[in-house]
Amino acid sequence: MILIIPAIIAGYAQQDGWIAALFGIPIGLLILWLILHLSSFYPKLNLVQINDRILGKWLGALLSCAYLLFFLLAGSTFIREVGDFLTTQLFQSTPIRYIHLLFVLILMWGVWNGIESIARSAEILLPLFIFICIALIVCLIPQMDLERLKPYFGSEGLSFAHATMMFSVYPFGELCSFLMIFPYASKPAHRNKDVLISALCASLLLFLLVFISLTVLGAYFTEHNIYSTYVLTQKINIGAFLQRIEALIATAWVISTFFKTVLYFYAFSIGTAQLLRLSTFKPLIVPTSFLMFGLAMMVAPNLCIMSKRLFPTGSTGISPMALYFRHCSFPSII
Amino acid sequence: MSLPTLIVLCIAISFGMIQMPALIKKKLKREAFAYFLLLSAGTAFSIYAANVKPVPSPLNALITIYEPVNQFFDRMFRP
Repeated sequence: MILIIPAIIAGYAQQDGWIAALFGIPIGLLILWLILHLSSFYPKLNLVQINDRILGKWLGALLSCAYLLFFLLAGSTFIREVGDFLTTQLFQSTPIRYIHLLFVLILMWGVWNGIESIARSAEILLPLFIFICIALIVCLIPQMDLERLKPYFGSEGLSFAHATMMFSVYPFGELCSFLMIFPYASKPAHRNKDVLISALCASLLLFLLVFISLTVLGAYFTEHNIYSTYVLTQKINIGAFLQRIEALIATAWVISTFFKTVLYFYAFSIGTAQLLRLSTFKPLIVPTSFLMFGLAMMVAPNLCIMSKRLFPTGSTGISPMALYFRHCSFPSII
Repeated sequence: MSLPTLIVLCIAISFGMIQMPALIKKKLKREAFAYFLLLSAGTAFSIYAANVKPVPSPLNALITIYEPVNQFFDRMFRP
């Protein structure tokens, strides 16, 4: 997410991407609030069980299937993103399958150890991630040029709205995997507030990345570099001494994508177990890793098709709003 | 049969040989059946992936479903 969001936003709104991002944050927080509100109605049930409860057996199973398919395909897409990024930028002569294989093995290991180990390791790695991001932002301040943002509001109204929608629905809609793990998390009284605050911080980070990318690289270059944050790090040059630290951002991105993917993996395996009314989800871990390894290669023949065709149509998830308004079972936004 | 196919099949069969009998022994029939279905689908996909064969993406189906919806919204907003 932190690598490709500037390219996506700038692709729609050009130099106004940062304004679109700013508008997108409250809308995204509203979506997250919907998710949290839905889970507060059913604190003991996860998404598949909620579907079952609200929509009944058959319709609920149908919607659960749609969500599970989304978890599976989105998880495989994340694996593919990591593989594509590493093979095009860092390990140019490594076949993509081996990177996928390593990633899937770690995923399998993580899910096998359970949600608690995942959460604790995320806690350990979070400071590293924050440090890298702050270092990136601070090191780029000297190169920022606000002139590159002009003219303000120069983009077309409709594509500006599209950029706002992408910024709100794409990062926040992916959080619907949280609905699968909420019942297993501990429930302090201020949990909803904590989730909202952390989502706000994360979206501010995304906004800063869009902003810096636009001010340092300019709209044209941001739009046409799919890994613009990575290119940004290559621009860091402080006194001809501190430079070429792009491997750091690659590390941070792979770490963050790993945790996103592990959540999706977990959501898929536990959701399938619940949909089929199995007593445990542990046996499903190995088949799921096979599925993800295979689908990671199959989702798209190459990066161009993935970024131009799939990101605009798919990848944002079926909105939980459909569930919130209980009467309509139609998966509203994808 | 190429080498990657063979490797994937070996790994899948060895996993199945270890986990399936354990599930059946514990009288978890449903689990064993779901395990078998998912594992065979996964193995089929993985064989394609390991051989880097070009196959039509399963997402094309989703795109064909949602393309009319997108076009509908597009027509609604674009005069």
